[in-house]
Amino acid sequence: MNDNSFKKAIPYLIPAIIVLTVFTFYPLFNAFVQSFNRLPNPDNYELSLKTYQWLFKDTTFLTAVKNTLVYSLVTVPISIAISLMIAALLTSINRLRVFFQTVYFLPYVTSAVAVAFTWGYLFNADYGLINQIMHNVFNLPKIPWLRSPDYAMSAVMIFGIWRSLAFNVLILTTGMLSIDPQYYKAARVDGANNATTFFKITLPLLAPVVSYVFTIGLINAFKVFTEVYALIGSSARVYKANTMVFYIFDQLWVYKDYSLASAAAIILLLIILVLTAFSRWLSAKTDYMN
Amino acid sequence: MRIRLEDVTVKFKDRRNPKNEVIAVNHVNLEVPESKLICLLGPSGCGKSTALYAISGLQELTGGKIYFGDRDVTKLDTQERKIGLVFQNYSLYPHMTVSQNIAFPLKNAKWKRKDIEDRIQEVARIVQISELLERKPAQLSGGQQQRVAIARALAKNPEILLLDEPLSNLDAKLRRSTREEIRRIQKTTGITTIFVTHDQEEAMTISDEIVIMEDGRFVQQGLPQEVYEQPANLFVAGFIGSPTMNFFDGRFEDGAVMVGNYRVAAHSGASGAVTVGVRPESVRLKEDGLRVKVEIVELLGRERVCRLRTETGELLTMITDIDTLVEEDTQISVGFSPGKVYLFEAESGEALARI
Ligand SMILES: Nc1ncnc2c1ncn2[C@@H]1O[C@H](COP(=O)(O)OP(=O)(O)OP(=O)(O)O)[C@@H](O)[C@H]1O
Ligand SMILES: [Mg+2]
Repeated sequence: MNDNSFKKAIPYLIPAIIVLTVFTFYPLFNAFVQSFNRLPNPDNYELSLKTYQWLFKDTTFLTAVKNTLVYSLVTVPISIAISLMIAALLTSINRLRVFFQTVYFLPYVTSAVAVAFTWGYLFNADYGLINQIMHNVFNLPKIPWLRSPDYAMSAVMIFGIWRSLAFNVLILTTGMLSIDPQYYKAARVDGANNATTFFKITLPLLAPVVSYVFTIGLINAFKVFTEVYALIGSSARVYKANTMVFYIFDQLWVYKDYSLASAAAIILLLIILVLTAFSRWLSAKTDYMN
Repeated sequence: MRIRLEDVTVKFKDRRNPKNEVIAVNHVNLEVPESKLICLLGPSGCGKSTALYAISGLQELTGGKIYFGDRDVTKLDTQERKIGLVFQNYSLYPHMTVSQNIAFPLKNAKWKRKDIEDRIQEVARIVQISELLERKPAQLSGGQQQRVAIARALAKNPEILLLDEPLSNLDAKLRRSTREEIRRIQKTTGITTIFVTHDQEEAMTISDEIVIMEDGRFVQQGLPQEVYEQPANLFVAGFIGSPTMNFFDGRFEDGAVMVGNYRVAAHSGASGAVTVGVRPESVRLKEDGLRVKVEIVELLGRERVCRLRTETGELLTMITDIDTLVEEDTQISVGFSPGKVYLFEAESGEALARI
């Protein structure tokens, strides 16, 4: 950009710069400074590295990090795999496709809290559908899904996978439908069976979309909170189902330790920055046009 | 491999109005001799692609039968028909390199690795793309993509090659050279080929035989010169040849064919209206002929293309050699070369005679 066009661009950039400064850069900067404040109260400052030291010694935080990592690395790939299957089935039908697409998208537009209420019933230890099936059909013991440190996180992950299906299915279905049908005709002429067509044609052509869904999914997964809070409630920490955002929430509203909350938020931000960089690299790699 | 179509019909439901049917291919019969290249020629939407897809097996028939040699392939799946197909827009897989594109049908047919590599080199040589093998389709020009598409189609040693308007995305110069290329490849491999096009000049120059299609029906099949000189009906006459044939509302009168006051030629045994057709190169200066006004004269190297208007307002084109002086905005009188005047039934457009 030469000097002149930069000058011309300034008036157009100013509104965006103001909005970004007030709502993004300032809070970010504030949190950054706060995270180095040894005192929990934001009104008194005593800068040091102590908060980070405490943070990494806090087993609750470490559990939260572990839970978040497990949650992200388990739910995102599984959700995408299931979504790909559903999208492939959806695109292969002609009749009622729009109907089923809508059905799959409904969870996305309904409130997580409301849906979690229903899932709470499904997971109920005594009369929940899941335990009924496990017990009556497979003769397995009943599991206190939402009230046990061993299973609460699994329940959250199952719920999380289900919730993220809606968005993934929508995007992947749209992506699949936008693949030129000529390629499938060509694949038929070239003698490709269904599996070969899916893995050698559909998936590579869908790679940019999959990498997009993967990135968005991963970033959302690292920020997981609603699923935990709505399904397990404020006692998630007790049942070892707390996540990083849950930890930040707890520090802010329960313990009122702004410094610790800020430090945890900065760590989360760094993780997400790394993920974003990774996703840029991934989408450059999956861009088959180059 | 000889191809035979028997009473082939393909119907579609109309997308907007499912109660209506579109008859894309309407009870057609066709015989393609072994090792020949025939062109399926017709205007846009007449059903050329559908007919080609029917032969390839991508499109199910509503009725009729298709034979390759003596074998009935009507119910056979595409991959069992041993055909190569080049699509209108090539449909090269964008994420694969040229060599991966060519290898794809071979891998699916479970060829051995070594054989695949040898075959890639072989077809790449035939279509002259050996130095492009590691490129992706996006890094190729239109003409190169087209040759890759042919290479992919030829790789599996098909017995039949089907090409759907393969030159439509190329510029005029590249079109000419690629079409010669296709002809050369077809001759060297001896593969029976059906070539779909809506460009009559392309069809005239490349094919052994031309099949002309109108509204889902095959209206005429013959040698290029044959369809040019003996068009079966008004549609073929108007479609083949550039500039197009001139048509006049004529009549039979006193044992002769008349256009306006011009007595074209003697022709006995009929009366009433007739459509008279004459090609631009068969129009020439003649005293006591049709009186016309010269509107535009284009000099095209060896010839003059003259747009003329009759006194009744009909337009006609005349091509004369460069030495015949015709000037714009003058009145002249023209006649039609004997033996080069086509008569068509006024109602149906069927060819009647050439006089
Ligand atoms: N899948 C389909 N469903 C409904 N109608 C179709 C379908 N495919 C083709 N048609 C109709 O059949 C007719 C013939 O189509 P086709 O594509 O064979 O024409 P074409 O001669 O190849 O035209 P072009 O030169 O434009 O490629 C058209 O009227 C078209 O609208
Ligand atoms: Mg077509």
